[in-house]
Amino acid sequence: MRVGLIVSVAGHGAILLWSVIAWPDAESFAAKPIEALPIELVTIGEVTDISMGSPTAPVEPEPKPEVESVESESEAESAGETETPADSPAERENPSTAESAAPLPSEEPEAPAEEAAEPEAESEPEPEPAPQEEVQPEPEPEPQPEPEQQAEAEPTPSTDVVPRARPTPPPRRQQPTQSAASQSNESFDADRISALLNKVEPSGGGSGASQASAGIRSDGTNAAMTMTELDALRAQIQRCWNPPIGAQGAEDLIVTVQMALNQNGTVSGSPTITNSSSNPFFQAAADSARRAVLRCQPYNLPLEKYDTWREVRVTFDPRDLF
Amino acid sequence: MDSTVAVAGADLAAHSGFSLFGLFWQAHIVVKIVMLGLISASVWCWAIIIDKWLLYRRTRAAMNRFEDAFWSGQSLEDLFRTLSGRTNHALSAIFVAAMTEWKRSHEGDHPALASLSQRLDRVMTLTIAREGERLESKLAVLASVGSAGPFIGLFGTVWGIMTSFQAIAVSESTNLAVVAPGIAEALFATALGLLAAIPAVIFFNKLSGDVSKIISRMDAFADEFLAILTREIDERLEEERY
Repeated sequence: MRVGLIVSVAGHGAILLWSVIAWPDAESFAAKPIEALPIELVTIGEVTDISMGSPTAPVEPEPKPEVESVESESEAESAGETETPADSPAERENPSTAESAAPLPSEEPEAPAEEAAEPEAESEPEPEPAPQEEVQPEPEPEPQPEPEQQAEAEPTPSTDVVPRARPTPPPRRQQPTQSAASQSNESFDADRISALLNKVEPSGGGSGASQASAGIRSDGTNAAMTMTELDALRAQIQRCWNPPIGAQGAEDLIVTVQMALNQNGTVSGSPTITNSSSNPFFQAAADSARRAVLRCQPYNLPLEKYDTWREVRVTFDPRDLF
Repeated sequence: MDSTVAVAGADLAAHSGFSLFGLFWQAHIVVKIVMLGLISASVWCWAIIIDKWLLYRRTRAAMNRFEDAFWSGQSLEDLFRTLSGRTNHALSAIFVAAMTEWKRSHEGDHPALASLSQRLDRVMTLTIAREGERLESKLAVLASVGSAGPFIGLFGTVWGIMTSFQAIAVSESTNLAVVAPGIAEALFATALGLLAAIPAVIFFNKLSGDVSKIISRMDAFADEFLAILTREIDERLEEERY
């Protein structure tokens, strides 16, 4: 016994010594501190619509503030202008007329009355009857008192040049203030608005576009199968479904079929009916549902979401058809 | 907060190390006791294994030598005379016990031959039982260590994992650096338990097989020897009758 004990102790000591020598300390691992991951809880909705945000996506500035500044500039028309940001195209049509109209006040002194009158007649035929050629020599009592006086004083067309120029500006200034006619507003503000608008490329302007561009880029990596895909599957099945319409109480023959799908869209195994009913026609309805499932395969579904449609439960409700 | 705890845990792990002694010294006292018990059990098991292995080898050699001498044609009286002076084991012990009984039965004027064969059988069976007991002694320790060792190691492991979960609760961090040292030292206890138990089980099976072989060989010899002696007894009884 002593021999065995001595040998055993010696052997254990030798193994321990060898293991201490042969096994150096395990490499100490440095545990990296885990970075906090911000998580935002998304409200649960009926339809899954998650688009992955990307930090590299460009952040588009909102065009709105510019429009507001335009509004603030034109104090006079603020009441009428509230809707103008939306109908910017209307303003953009104007520049041709607006440009021709803008130089008017400065050029008018030299320009003949006819030339000055013509653009006005084009843009605003209604409120200015004065500049028209036939009327010019005659006194005009109605629109403005000043031009009348001048016209009376110098009835000849040759002298029109100077007096004609002055009367025209006042009516233009007055008209916008007096009548809130949109046409005159446009012609008046057009150069200012268009000048401002031209600096900023007008983007769609819709509120939705600006929301969508807040650093979010849709990569189409929606994880969950959305309702539309399930609906698509249901629609594919329903094409082949031939329910027992003539059966009694057919609208109550709701059949729920559970099936397993392969990756290529074919049904694996046989679909099972998971509900039951006391209706004598239920068996026929169940058979028709099962036939429909088998007849319409393979189903066309996105392969990357195979996990979500591997096991599918489809409800056949005849009321959908009625 | 979290990162500082993790760094502290990593420092702790790096400081004490994962060497065998590191694992031992940083363990809980209960786990230490379990480890020491398992190591001593392993030492004891190996001592028994070596001892028994040597004993069985010696026994088999002695049996071979005795059988050679027994079947060599030499007189049983001479063989008994040479063997009676020393301590005998196995076959020689059976032979000496039987011959002693034989001699004692032939003492005096009227040899007691009538139930001598039964007495011889009893004596030899007794000797075989005694020899078997001697050969099998301490093999039960191997069996016990083999069956209980893993459980004892598992107890140490469970205790160590309890301690490391308490460490989680104290540090309020589930970081691996906090948990890993405790689990490593806890698993070391199971490793020691298996280390002690596996050789114990293997050698228990081997040694108990050896013992049963030796005992069956002794049984065979006893039967053979009894057959020779009873033949002799019957002849002498026949002589006495006439």
